Formats: sequence, structure tokens, C-alpha cells
Amino acid sequence: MSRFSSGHVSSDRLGEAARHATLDGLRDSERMHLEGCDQCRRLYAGYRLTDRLLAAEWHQVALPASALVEKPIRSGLSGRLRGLSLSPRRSPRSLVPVALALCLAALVGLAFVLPQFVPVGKPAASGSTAAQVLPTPSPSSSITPGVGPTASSPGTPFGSAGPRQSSGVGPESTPAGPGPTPANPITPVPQPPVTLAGLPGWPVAWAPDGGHILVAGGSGFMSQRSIQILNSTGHQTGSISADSATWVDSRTIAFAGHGKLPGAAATISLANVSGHIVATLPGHYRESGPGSTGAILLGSGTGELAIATQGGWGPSASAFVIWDGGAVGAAHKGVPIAFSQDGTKLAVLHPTGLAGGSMSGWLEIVAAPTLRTIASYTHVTVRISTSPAGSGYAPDAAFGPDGNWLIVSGTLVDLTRGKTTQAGDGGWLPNGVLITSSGGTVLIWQGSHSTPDSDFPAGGSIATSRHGDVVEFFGDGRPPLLLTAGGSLRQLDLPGVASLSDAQLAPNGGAIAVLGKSTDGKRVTAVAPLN
Amino acid sequence: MGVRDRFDADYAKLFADLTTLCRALGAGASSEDIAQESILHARERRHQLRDESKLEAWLRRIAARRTFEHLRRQRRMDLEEPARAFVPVDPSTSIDVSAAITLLPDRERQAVVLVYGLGYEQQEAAEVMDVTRGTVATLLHRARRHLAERLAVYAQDRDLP
Repeated sequence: MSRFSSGHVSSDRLGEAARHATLDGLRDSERMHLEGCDQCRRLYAGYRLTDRLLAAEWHQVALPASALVEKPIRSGLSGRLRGLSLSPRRSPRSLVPVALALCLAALVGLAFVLPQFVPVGKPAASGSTAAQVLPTPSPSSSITPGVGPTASSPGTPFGSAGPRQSSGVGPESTPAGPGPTPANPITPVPQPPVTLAGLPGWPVAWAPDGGHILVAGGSGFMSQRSIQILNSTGHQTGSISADSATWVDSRTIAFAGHGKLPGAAATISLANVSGHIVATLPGHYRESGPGSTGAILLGSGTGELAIATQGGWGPSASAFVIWDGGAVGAAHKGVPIAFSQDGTKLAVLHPTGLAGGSMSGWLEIVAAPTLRTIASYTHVTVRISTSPAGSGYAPDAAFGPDGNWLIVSGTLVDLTRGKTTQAGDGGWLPNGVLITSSGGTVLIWQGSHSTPDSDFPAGGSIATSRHGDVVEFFGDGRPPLLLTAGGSLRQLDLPGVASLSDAQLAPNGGAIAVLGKSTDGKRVTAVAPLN
Repeated sequence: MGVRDRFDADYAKLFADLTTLCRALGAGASSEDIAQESILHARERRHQLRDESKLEAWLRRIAARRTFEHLRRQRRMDLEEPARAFVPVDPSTSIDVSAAITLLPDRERQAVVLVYGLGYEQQEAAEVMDVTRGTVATLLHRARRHLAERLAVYAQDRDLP
């Protein structure tokens, strides 16, 4: 006996009405009942959906184990992700108060502790990177501007939340008296990297929480390749075979595989960090048109996934959809290039030209996942590098923490004014400061104004973490410099890695992935924990 | 062309048809094995087939029966296969909606898969399932009602037209 049958319009009558997609066949009394009965309306909707479902195309698909047990079927992201039995989803917004409280506590603690451990010498601009750090005698030795326009000077962009309040004590600082000797003074510490032999792939992609990293194996993006999943200590936890992959959240990887050349229909699946498939998205996705490169996925890290359905990284007729854990939404024109850090905004490039490994076009900011247009910048033309995006990883674009700034392949875009500034390549800090390297000089940006930094030597490249760490790395053999969110500056000793051509810090600052050359000139990819 | 010749001449087509059937019924990675065994079994017993025009239906019945046996054996041995299923996929709805098919009672699910998934006529499905056409119609009716009840909340939440 149906639980819907008692005292209501009979299930068969509702089913018959749904089959004809009209209530005309019902008696007046049944129609009146239906207007006031939520249960009957629900069942009618259920019949309509059932008929639509049964008429859909049938496929062999991987189903999440959780979908195979009796439970209410919900719509929406929260239900969807619960249904997938993924790791407990943490709402970034719910963590904000906790994070703020922790930051505040940490800052208060640092205010007392760090002045006792400030470095008396900074790395010279020449590249001498051995940061000699000695304890200063007293917490009362106030922060003194260092030599040159350092970021630690009052009013510098790092501000009160910046990572360097204690790093700018110049040589003229006067010890104010004996203080406690730190049990563990900050000194250059070798970071034995885990060299990823046989994994020449680059770029890599850190999970939003820094717990895992994707490293591409094989070569090129034109065929299925093995993508290794490693934890932050560099040890493999799983692998997937895919053309491209991205993090949907910290425990979920979305990957596309068509097993053929780009242009073929692709299947999008979700895997956990062990590489086990937990779900396959409905439908097939096809990228077509000239310029398609296989980069058809962009994860927000907070649960949303943008999927190029047409054009991929093509020049004109590009389109994409958003999957937010529930249904796949309607297509939107353009190429998705970056989610905001909270996942609520998406930067979309409307390509007007594709040449020389880069794509230019005008910008649009849309809300995620609704794709409602927030702002269009038809007068703002930006150019984005299709590499490394062409290899199926995050495009070279990133929102600032407040969502009002965007950097796209070295171009800083003020989204509130629609103005652009050439800033150079770099990354954001959690307090909204942008650090870039431009023309060999490290620049600290507050808004659209920059200040040269003298702490970091010239000639390097910059990478940052969302945690607030900054690393400068060099292609000429100098060891990389790490400025931690806590304010300590030290050089990294990566045994076996002679020079670096790229580096990515884990978002939590707990590890670094590097691409470089070994001492015997061979290409090397490595992951090193930072402790 | 005799039955024996048809086995040989149409082997590829028969094999593909049976593999599709077995996979749709849930045999997974064993589908090809079951399909091949079914053809070999039928070939040895081709003298039992009275009406040659019913070769395909006969083969399907054999393959379906072997698939059901295989699934029962798996269940008894509590073997876990990767959760792949032959389900309808509507891009505008959650995969959980598609998965609702797999939660139907076995006979209802088989009827739905054969008729809606593989496009069999009810009579063809009845032959595969070794039941009457009326039974298949009843199973389909019940399956539709069970699905509607299962999907009711989702459908209303999504305000589907």
C-alpha cells in the first residue's frame, strides 16, 4: 500500500495525470485536493520526474556507494556531498570566526614571543641567503624600520596582519637587556625533499587544505596520463588516469577523461584522495573548436566545478557549465578562469584572440553557482597564459582574498573600478597584499600601488600560500628563501635540487612542491615538507 | 542459413547484444564471459530450438538466466564489485536520481532496464525474464510508482516542470 494513497488522490490517478502532463483528466474534487495537498503535489512531481528520467539516455555509470542505499534524495550541494560520502564538508564561512579567533590568538602570542627571536641580519640583496637569526634580548626592542623601504616599515602593505612585523629590525637595533634564550632558534633547516622520480609532470595542484597534491605523470595533455595523488610529505596515496584534473574540495578530485584526442566526448568523474572513483557526473562533455587543449575543468576548492562544454580554451565560441554537487546548470558563454577564494564568484574570460600560447579577451564576473552576472568589463582586455592551464590545471588567474581584485597572468585588475595594472607574477597573502616579481624586483602591492621590497633579493620568482607564507625561488642555483606567516625568514635547503624553475606552496604553508634541475642537470620534481 | 551457420556468421552481433544485456542487468565485468558462455551453451543445444526465428530471444533468456545466477552467487559470497550500473542519466538532475533505479526490487528493476533501458518490447522482456507480458506490465507499473515516491521530495524541491 502506498503511503500516499490514504485520503489523497490515488497514486494511479496522479501517475496517469503525470503521464499526460496535464491535470485535465482529474476530477474537480481531485484537482481541488491537489491544490491544497503538498503530499499529492509532491507525488505528482515525482511521477513527472520519473517519466523524464526513464526517457533519458541510459549509460553505464559509476555510482557512489552512498547512492545505493535507501535514503531521501535531496537536491542541492549539501545533500549531494553528504550523499557522496565524501569527507565531512567544512563550510569555509563557518570556519571564518574560528580562523579569526585563532589568528588573533596567534598574533597576540607572536607579539609577545617574536620580538625575542627577531633576526639581527637579513639576507643581503646580493643573494646571500643565509639568514642568521639570533635572539634579541628583550621584547621591549620595538620594531625598527630596516634598511631601505622594507615591508616591515610602518605603513607598509603587510600592515598589522602581515607576516613580517618582526623581521625588519635593522643592525642598529639596540639590545635592551638579556632575554630568554629560545630553545629552538630559527636557523636554516634542510628540508629533505621527496624526489618524485619518474614523474616529470608539471604543473602540480595542491588541495585547498594543503593535505594532498596532484602531480601529472606522462607527457602532454593529448592523451590519458597518470596523475599521482600525494600527501604533503610526498608519499603517494593514489592515482588516476585522466586528461585533466582539479580539486572540487580538499578531499574530492574531479577529472576528465576522453581517452582520445581533445574534441571527443569526455566523462567527468569524482575521486577521493585514494584515487577511488566516488561518482560520475551525468552526461558527457565535449570540447570542440580550434584551440581546445584538454583543460576543461576548474574546481573552486569549495565544492563547485566549472566544466567547459564548448571550445575549451578556444578563441571564441566557448561555453561552460557549473556543477555544485546537485544538478549541472545551464551553459554560460566564456571561459572560466578563477573562482574567488570563498567560491561565490567566478571570473570568466570572453576570448577575442588566441595566439602564441595565450588568450586575450574581456572579463566578466559572475556569481557561483547561479552564473548571474555581477559585472562585465567589456573595455578591459586581459591576456592569460594557456600554459599551465593547457595542461589541465588551474589557470594563471587568482582573486584576492576580498574578491575585489584579480590577477591574471601578471595583470592586476581592480574589479571595483575596472582598471588594470601590470604587476608581474606572484600571489596573494591573506591580508589582501599582493607580492609579485617584476623585472627582477620583488614588489609589494597594496591596492594598485607597489613598493619595492628589500628583504628579498632581486632576480627571483615569487609564490605565496593562503596561509601567508612567501617563497622566492631562483633559476640560477641560489637556494629559495622562505618567509613564513609567522615572520621568520630562512633559506630552504633542498638537497639534490640545484635550481628551481617553479614552486608552489601548499595553501596551509606546510609543504612546498618544486620543479627544477638536479645537481647533475636532470629535471626533478619534488615535494618537501616545511617544518 | 541454419542455426549453426547463424551462430558463426552472426557471432559478433550476438555476442555484442548479449554483452549489452548482461551488463545492463548488472553482471559488470563478467558480462562478456557470461555472453560467451551463453552462446557456447546454446550452440551445443541448438537442437532444442524449435523456431529458428527465435534464436535471439532464446539466447537472451539463457544469458539473462546466467546473469541472475551470477548475481545471486555474488550476493551469497558477499562480493563487492565496483558500483557501476546501467541507469538513465538526465544531465539536469543529480546522479542520486539515476541511482534510484538500482534501489528498485530486483524484478521491477530488471523489467525497467529491459524495456526502458534496452528498448525491448514488453513481450521480449517477458521472454528474457521468463514471465508473461502481463507480469512485465505490472512490474513496470509498480516500478514507476516506487520511483515516483522515491523522487517526490527531490522533484518538488527542484520545482521541476
